[in-house]
Amino acid sequence: MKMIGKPADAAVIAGIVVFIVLISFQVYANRGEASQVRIDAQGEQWIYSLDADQRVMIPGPLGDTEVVIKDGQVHIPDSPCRNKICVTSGLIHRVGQWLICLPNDVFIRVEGEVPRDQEVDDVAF
Amino acid sequence: MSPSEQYSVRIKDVALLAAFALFLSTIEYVIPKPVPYMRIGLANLSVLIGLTYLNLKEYALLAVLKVLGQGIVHGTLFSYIFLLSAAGSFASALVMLLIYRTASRRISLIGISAAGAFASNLAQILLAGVMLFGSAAWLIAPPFLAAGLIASVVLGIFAEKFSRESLWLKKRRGAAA
Repeated sequence: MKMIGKPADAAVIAGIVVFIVLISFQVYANRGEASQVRIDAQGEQWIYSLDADQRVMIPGPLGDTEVVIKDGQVHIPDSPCRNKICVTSGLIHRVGQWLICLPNDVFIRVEGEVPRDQEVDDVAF
Repeated sequence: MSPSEQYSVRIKDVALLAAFALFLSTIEYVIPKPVPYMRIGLANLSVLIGLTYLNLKEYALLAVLKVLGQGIVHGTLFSYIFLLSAAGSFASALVMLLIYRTASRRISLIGISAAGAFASNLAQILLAGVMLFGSAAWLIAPPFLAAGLIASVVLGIFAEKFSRESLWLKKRRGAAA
């Protein structure tokens, strides 16, 4: 095959690859055992323990998104959005994994060790 | 050719490339994607082609028409998604223009396409971070950027080959010069 690129093409592509690798480490670096679930919705934030089984309703602009924590795994059984992409995203359990319902503005993330300034909020339900 | 005739030739080319972008947006919309916010960026093909022979004003016009066209085809014109799409398209158009104007001797449309997609995705992640998710937006950055890189290199190879070998494009460039 004849080469059709020019020398700087490889440099640009390599630069982008390096950036992606660096950002991956930054974002997905293992931050300890999965221990808690952080939910952000409409500017509010809830933190639940991953060990306590429970079902919570997170209010969003379209209604309540249902979030279930069971056996150390999190999933969204139902959400009042159109495409149900969050529902079909399935179960998450590792640090850094996330579930997102864009239409209903709900963002769920599995996190590692509990930061010192945040206590697990187990009060709801 | 008189200046006004030349203008009419060039503006028709902008319209043609914009129509081409609209068509490619439609094709892109029809292709199923694993996650909805992942884009192939097919419409960027017409911007890449335009880059090789349009002047600054025409290129800017093409970028605006592409953004509007995509908004109409994807039905996102009046939603926040349109802001993301517009930010991405303009960031990419600007980066590609700067690289093409300063370094086209050393870099082909392949590298330019990759850099453009990277700029587009980065702009969208930054804006999504500001508007919606905060720093959590970075969580989707790696797969988003990687998919963009692969798609843009493939498109870039096509654009580079097309730009070199197309007789039609050669004729257009001749007519516009």
